[in-house]
Amino acid sequence: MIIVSNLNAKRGTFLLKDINFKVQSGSTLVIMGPNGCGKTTLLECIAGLQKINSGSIVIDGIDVTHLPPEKRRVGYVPTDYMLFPNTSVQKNIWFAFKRSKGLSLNDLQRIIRLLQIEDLMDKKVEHLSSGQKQRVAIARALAMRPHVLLLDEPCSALDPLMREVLKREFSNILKEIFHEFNISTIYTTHDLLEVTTIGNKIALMNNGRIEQIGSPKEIFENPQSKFVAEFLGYNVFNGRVIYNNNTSILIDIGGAVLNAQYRENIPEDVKDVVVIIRPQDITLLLTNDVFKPEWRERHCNILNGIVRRVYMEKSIVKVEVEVNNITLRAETNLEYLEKLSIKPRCEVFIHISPSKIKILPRR
Amino acid sequence: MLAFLSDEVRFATFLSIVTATCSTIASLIICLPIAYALSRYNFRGKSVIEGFLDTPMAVPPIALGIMLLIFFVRNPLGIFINEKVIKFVFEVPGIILAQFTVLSPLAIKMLKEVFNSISPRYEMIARTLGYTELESFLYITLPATKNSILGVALLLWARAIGEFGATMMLAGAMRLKTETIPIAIYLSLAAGDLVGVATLSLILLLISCGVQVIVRKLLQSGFAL
Repeated sequence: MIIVSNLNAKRGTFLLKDINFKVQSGSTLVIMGPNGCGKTTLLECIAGLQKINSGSIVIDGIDVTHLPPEKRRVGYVPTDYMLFPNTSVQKNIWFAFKRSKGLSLNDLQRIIRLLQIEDLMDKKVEHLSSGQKQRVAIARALAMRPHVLLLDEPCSALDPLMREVLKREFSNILKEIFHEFNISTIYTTHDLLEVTTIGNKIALMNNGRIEQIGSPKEIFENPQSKFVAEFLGYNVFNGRVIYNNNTSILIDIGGAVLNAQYRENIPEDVKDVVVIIRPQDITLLLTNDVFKPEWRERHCNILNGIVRRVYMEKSIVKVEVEVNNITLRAETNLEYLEKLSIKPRCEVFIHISPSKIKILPRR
Repeated sequence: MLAFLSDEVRFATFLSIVTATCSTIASLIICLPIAYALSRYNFRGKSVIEGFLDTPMAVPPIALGIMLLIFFVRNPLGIFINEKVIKFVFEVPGIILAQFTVLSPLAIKMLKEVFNSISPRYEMIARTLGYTELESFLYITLPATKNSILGVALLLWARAIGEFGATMMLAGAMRLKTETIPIAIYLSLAAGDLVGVATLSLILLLISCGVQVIVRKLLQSGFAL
């Protein structure tokens, strides 16, 4: 288990501020965030490669804050893998294995087998593909039997064409390894697919701080800041409360009025808010059925807009609808889109359930 | 052919090879850690030190030799070293010291470039795998740079074997005592022995050509300088 408490560090002019988290043995924390948010600096602090100004790092009950990297037993796989040049795969792995404590040759063979690199052992590292390098680097980090494994964007150097296939395969392999060797793992990425397939816990970083940390369900369903919602690709608007009666809240977002379920975090005196709507919570409709009385009684939000853009991302269809002065992004599937014949410039009605509208006080 | 076999030529060749080898090894041993530190660490006054280390490159070797000579015959510390520790003035150790003084700035500059060509992150990774800073250098950086370091060593050796100015000033030009190949060429020229000059020049030429071939072969098989 690794516990990071109140960690502050400085790298040039960049500051890592007040980082706190805990990762249980066998669990994986996925750190997400835009480039330059401090993910790599944080990993380097944990590995002992970067000086910290204050705070503590405790691994399996031992305070390693002031220990040199070689005494921490933290396996680190950097983005560019950093396999030792002009050497074979076997030499790279053996180099780490020589310093392992409590890892038998059988365990090492199992790691090699799990990572499917048995056939690469005699190859020079320069002759490996990105995917193969990734696995060899992980095998090397695991070969010294680390208590904590740090993976810095391990899929970022992969060929985009192979990335999807490898990612799925890779995440299954990793899960098996983490479970088998009971290692606390910290994994950085900016890919949402990797997050959902690998992490037990997610931390979102921005500008040297952790903005939110929690289970994937908590993060995806309940973003706690504007940054988190924007990073997850949700609809985020600045809004103004026009009515708040402890049962429902009416909010004006750029001319469109939304009816949201009452939230305790929005007292009556708060007027400026941030409104978050997940694209998958927006339903597109073509007919006037939505104006029937039974819909009205449910305080539904029915907005009338014009489709501006329809595009696909993997198997998901994204539709941008202009409503008054705002653009809402909705997600649907191709079948539904074809059934309704939704095309750019056509008029649509959109429905958003009041319970699906998340409101945060604006800072 | 007889000129090749003369005692003087054989002595000069032998002395040149021995002193050049000694001064090359000494400059590698001393300059390797300095070059490594300058390549890997940032510290206050680094640029001043780098400037100071580069200064001898701008000074003619003959002037360096004069400075060394003045130090050993005028400075109390120099006199003490020369009389009680090792005799440098007009002695063989003086040749090695003169060559070492000329080689050191070159060695630091070239070795620093060698270390700059290897990412320090390899050592960082080695440290996370359980190796100390020294072990990371010995097991990762040194093997990865060995061909380049060998290339630098051969270039230094070639420079040392042709060294004249500083050697002449500190060790003097004494036949069959401090007579390296360049000194022998100078003495032969002074005596009007053109056959000797040609023979010794040919030997120097062959040595430097041989070194060049070896350096190129080494660089082809490993890291570039």
